[in-house]
Amino acid sequence: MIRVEGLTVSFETVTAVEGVDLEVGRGEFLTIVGPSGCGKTTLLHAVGGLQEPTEGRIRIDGEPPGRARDAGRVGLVFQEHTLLPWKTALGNVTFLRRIAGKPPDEPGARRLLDAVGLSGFLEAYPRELSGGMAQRVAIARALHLDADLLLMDEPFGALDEITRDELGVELRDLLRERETTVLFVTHSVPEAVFLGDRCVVLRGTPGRIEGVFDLDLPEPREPSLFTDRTFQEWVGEVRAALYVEASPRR
Amino acid sequence: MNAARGVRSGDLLYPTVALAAGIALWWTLSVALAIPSFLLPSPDEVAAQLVGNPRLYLVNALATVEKVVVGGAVGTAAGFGFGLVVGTIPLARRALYPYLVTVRVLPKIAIAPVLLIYLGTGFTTAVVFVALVTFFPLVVSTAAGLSRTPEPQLDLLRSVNAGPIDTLVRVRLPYALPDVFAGLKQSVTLAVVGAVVAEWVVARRGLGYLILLGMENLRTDIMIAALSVLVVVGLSCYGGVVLCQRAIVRRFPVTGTEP
Repeated sequence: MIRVEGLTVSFETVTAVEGVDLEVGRGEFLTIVGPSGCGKTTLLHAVGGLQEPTEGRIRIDGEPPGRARDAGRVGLVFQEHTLLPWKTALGNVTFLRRIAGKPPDEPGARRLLDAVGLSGFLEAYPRELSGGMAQRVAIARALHLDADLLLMDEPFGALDEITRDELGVELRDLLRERETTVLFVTHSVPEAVFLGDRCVVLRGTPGRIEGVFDLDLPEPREPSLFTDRTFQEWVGEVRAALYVEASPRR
Repeated sequence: MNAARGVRSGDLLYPTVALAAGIALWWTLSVALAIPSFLLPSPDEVAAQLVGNPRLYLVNALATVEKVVVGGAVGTAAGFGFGLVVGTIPLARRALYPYLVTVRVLPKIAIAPVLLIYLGTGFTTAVVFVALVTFFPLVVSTAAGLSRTPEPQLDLLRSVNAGPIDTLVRVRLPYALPDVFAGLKQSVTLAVVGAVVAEWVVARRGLGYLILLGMENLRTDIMIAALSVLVVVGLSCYGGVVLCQRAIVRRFPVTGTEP
């Protein structure tokens, strides 16, 4: 579904990512893990059509990312929930769809908020929601666009670990059901391993792909996995790619 | 915390007592030291002046309010519009913002004589002067407010191809409201100052003119009476803006920026 070929993105003074090749299949949950400043966000923005590649190209179903964006197929979730403070949970979810120029579907929005466990908070304002709840609203908002590509930039980065694990389990179930393709950027190796069908390690400045891991872990992913030995081994391998092996300089 | 929300019992009482004490002190001084009333009239003389000539003060207060309202409306509307341009068009911002900030150090009052030459000594001059004085705070605050929208929020809007009008009206403007109102509060204060200065220079009516007239005739009782009415006018104008702000902030609560 997504094909990234030789992607390089440079800004005025720095190159954020360099020579990235990547393929993502439909409905795949791809996690991208790497240290700060390795160009994870830039990669995500490029795939979402928010950032023009300096070199290389990106195709989504054979078309440039701008096309997918214009068709409203791309949903974004950030570390900050970016909910509008003057709109309710429901208002925030329906607002973005309306701005995207899609026909209103309030029952759909209600169902989604129900699916993320917020049926009792439709009329709550962001300031009345906890960080985890606000992030659930943000996820519902992205899904309500009927996006089939979800780009998530450290969506759980500001949450405590317990909320984060819970939300991860729920999110994965929800998205597999909907066959949404996900690019999920994170700082956390266990999170990347737990959630990903595959995990990409991005590293260096400019960021290059250090390794891609096929995570053949049992489905559905359940919290018991955190103590599983295979899971721990994968975490170890990904960590090794992140910290230990020096990447060969070209 | 509570003081900002509800009125505590002392909030009204203590200032009232302080005011009464101030007036009592003034009274004692003017009587005990036998200060001649053309230098310092006693409070009762001022009160008598006010009560004895209600029409005089009402008419002149209305003349001042007229300048504040008309000039303020024109100036703030123009300032808001110009702020929108500066805040939304990057080129305009880069070219003009340095000057908008620089203009702040210029005492706008110094422009009054210049206007006098161009526009004559009529009502228009006073209104244009008030408009000019209120214009700049609103340009700067509106432009600054429009940059308050969090960057990820703008990315999100771009990711769904939101139109520029939708982005401006539905997201950036609500985020800018606290700044716009901060600018309005500055403007309304300056508008009253501007109206009084304009009345010193050009007008034949208004509280500023009345104060000037009192000075020329050594009528301190008229001057102090006019000043007290001016305080009421200033407070009412400011209060009007605050009420307006409360109503709008209730609809668009931007977290952490409540007044």
